[in-house]
Amino acid sequence: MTRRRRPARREVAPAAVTRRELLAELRDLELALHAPAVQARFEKQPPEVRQRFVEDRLEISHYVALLAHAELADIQGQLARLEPELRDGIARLSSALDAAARTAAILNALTSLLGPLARVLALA
Amino acid sequence: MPELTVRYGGRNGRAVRFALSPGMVVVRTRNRAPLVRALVSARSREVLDSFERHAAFPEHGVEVLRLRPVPGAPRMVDRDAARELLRRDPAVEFAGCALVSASSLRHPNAALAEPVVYTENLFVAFREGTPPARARALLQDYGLRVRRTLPWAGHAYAVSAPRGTGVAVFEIAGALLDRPEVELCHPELVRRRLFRRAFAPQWHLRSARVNGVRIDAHVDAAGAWRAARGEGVTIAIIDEGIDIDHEEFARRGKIVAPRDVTHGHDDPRPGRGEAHGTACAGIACAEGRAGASGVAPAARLMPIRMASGIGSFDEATALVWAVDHAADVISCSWGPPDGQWWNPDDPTHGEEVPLPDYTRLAIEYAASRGRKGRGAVVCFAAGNGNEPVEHDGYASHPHVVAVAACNDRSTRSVYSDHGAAIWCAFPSNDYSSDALGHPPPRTPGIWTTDVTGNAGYNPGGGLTRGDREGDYTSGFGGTSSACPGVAGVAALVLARNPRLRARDVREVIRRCCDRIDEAGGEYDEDGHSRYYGYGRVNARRAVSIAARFVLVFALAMSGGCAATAEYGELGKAGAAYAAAVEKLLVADAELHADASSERLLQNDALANLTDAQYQRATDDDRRLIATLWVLRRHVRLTREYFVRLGDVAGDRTASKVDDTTAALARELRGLGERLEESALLDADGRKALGALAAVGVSSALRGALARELRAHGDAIRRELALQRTLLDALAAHLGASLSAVTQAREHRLVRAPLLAEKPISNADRWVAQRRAVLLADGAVAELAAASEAAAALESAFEALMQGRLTADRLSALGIELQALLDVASIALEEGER
Repeated sequence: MTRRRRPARREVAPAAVTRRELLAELRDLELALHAPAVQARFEKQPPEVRQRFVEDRLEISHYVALLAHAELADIQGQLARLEPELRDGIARLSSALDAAARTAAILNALTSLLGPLARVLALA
Repeated sequence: MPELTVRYGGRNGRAVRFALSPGMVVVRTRNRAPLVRALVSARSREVLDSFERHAAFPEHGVEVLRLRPVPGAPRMVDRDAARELLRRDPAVEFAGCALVSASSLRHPNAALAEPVVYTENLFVAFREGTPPARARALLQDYGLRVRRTLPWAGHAYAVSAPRGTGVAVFEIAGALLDRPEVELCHPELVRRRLFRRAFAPQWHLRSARVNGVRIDAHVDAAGAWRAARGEGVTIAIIDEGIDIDHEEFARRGKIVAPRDVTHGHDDPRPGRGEAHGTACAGIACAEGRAGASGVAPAARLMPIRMASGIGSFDEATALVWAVDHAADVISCSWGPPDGQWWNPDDPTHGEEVPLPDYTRLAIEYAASRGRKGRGAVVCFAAGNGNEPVEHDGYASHPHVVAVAACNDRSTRSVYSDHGAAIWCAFPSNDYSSDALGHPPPRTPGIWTTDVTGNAGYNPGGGLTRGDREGDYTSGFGGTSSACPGVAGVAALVLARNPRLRARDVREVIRRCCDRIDEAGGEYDEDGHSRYYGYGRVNARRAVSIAARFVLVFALAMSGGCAATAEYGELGKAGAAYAAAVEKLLVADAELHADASSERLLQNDALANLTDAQYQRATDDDRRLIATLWVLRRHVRLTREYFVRLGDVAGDRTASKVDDTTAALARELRGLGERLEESALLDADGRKALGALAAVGVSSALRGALARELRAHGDAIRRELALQRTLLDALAAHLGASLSAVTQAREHRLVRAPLLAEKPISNADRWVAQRRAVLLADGAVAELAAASEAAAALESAFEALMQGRLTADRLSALGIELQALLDVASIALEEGER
């Protein structure tokens, strides 16, 4: 069975929008859980309550990191697919520059050749 | 009733039609005294009792009388009978007709139409190349006397028709326009000049408490003063007289090139009852020494008194005086009469008042010749009629910054004119209106300078209308008040970056605005609101943008082959963009690491963390930072692409080839002479050979650029679209990291030491840390606009592909890129704190 290649995406898929919204909500929650007032309140709690709270907070941070990474990695993957074309463009532009430089070089060489030739003819 | 037609803009220009007003009479007494004091006969006095004084034009020695409205009562006289009687009175020199716009006569409230007075003067501009002798002979043919030449308007004259010509000046203007030598010609028509004043502390400059209420609807001028106060910049205020002896204008060197254009001398002090100019000048540039500060307190003031009506030659004279005496910014808080803002049936709402040609040319002269060619910034008040600004040819001129008024609740002032021509808004006073559902204002208006003593708006003696001495007023307002405020902001911008052109300043103002009243502002896709333009100006942001305008400057100055210049500019912009994104990626990685570390510290303060917990958090961080680094590599590739595009576009090989080919031709010629073939390569031939080779190389490069974009244009489009997504994601991530770092540091470095029992050991350090925490909030807000740069680059690229890349678009792109660079710098600074 042959697998069909998926067409390149040209915009962010709807799923990513949902992920972005979820990420924004989780970030707000993470920020709220680290607010100075919350921190101060839990500093006065018994060790087991603090332990549980820290575990929960770490869990939230872990999910935020996963989602943030997924978002950036998705964009990075799409950008990476464009890199061959960028490199090809750079090569084309470089060769255009080289061609122009070669024209100048040929003309320079011709000029330096003609000088002595004229002098030789003058002597003839 | 016959109509009279005036053409602005030449024979094929815009036609404006007038009619004789059925209810108004224009009168001039022999001794130029007001009619109430003139020694007219008893019969004339009886006739005059049927009229009321509607307007006065003292500079022309005339008054406009309007028949008193007496509902149901038969009129004792009509207009023509009254004119006839007054003409026979020995005390009266002239009794003529007033004009009104032809359309206003068809309005149900025609009686409220504004009068227009003709002066028997004309403006005539001849086509280039017309000999002066021919021009003067032509003027003599019509009996016209040259009053003055107007070199700023080309080959143009202000001329007078013989006294008694009357409405025949319209025929003369029409006949002259039909002459092939004449380009522009129209009579001088004057209307009442309505100052844009509508009916404390300076809450418009910074957050302030007024009458016990906190008002937070300001332009943050105080924030801008840390960077600029208007030093070295001159603001011309064209208005009524200005009290130049006021303590706020008394500094040596504060007043420059004062002028009274109505009377032709250098004393601009106010006449009786003229308080408007002093109030306007104070809003722009009062020193802030004793009782009020202007937006640009260190700017110089050029007071230009103009007591003439709207449409007078004097308004062009005033503008040209300002330009010729090096004004950087010109503020005009006046315009054609407005309709009553509360009365939708006022016919004045629908009346269009175009710019006279001489005033239009004077505004264009300011834009092109002011500030040694960089252009003077011209601001006009939008108007107070709650009507379309497009009807006002002054405020809606494309070179003008049209200023609307907003109020102390950050919504529109009920009277402020509206429309597409509004550029921005500035705080002013307001009124309540039950009929329009408009709430009452919380402040009396704007606090500014007043004519010293009891001669101004505030008679003194109490505190209800300003200070006890009467030197300051608390209730100034209207778009009159808003206009000099924006002139002050323009002065701050130019003080920060004097290289900016007038159009750059307009762009900076556009870019700096705060969008207010999102719900009612009706902002369109371009961020423009018909009520606020691009929003309420933010002086602090304007100064910040102005300081970093180098990129736009570089784009504007970029040279290179004209055929490839647009590619070069896009190349430069793309490279600058990629550099800024790279900077943002670095900042993001640094701030992410800091935020994560702060959180680990916070968690550890509650419960000792395990190795596994630490390791998982660190793995998360490493993975995310590694992705940021991969993105950084990609952005470097993007940057290289745009740099190479710019290299090809800006390549000097073509000119080098030109030089080389010339040398080659010289050698060939030497060789040819030997071979007796010199005719093949004469001087013209050498030149042609060099030029052909250069064009060949240039065409080859341009062809290469075009082929490149054909081959990879789609990929670049996708790249730029993805870059926008990337910037959105980065902005969100950076914002979250910055908030986390700020929050944690506030707790760790500011709050905890303060609440601890032990006193703070290093108070200066604590203050600095707290300041850093507080300022970081602003940085978070700036991040939201980052992705606009990507959108602007995308749009410029599309324009290039379609051959529509214009200087304006490049200028706008430059500003967006500068904003992105600002954001990247701020983020890096925050990361390094």
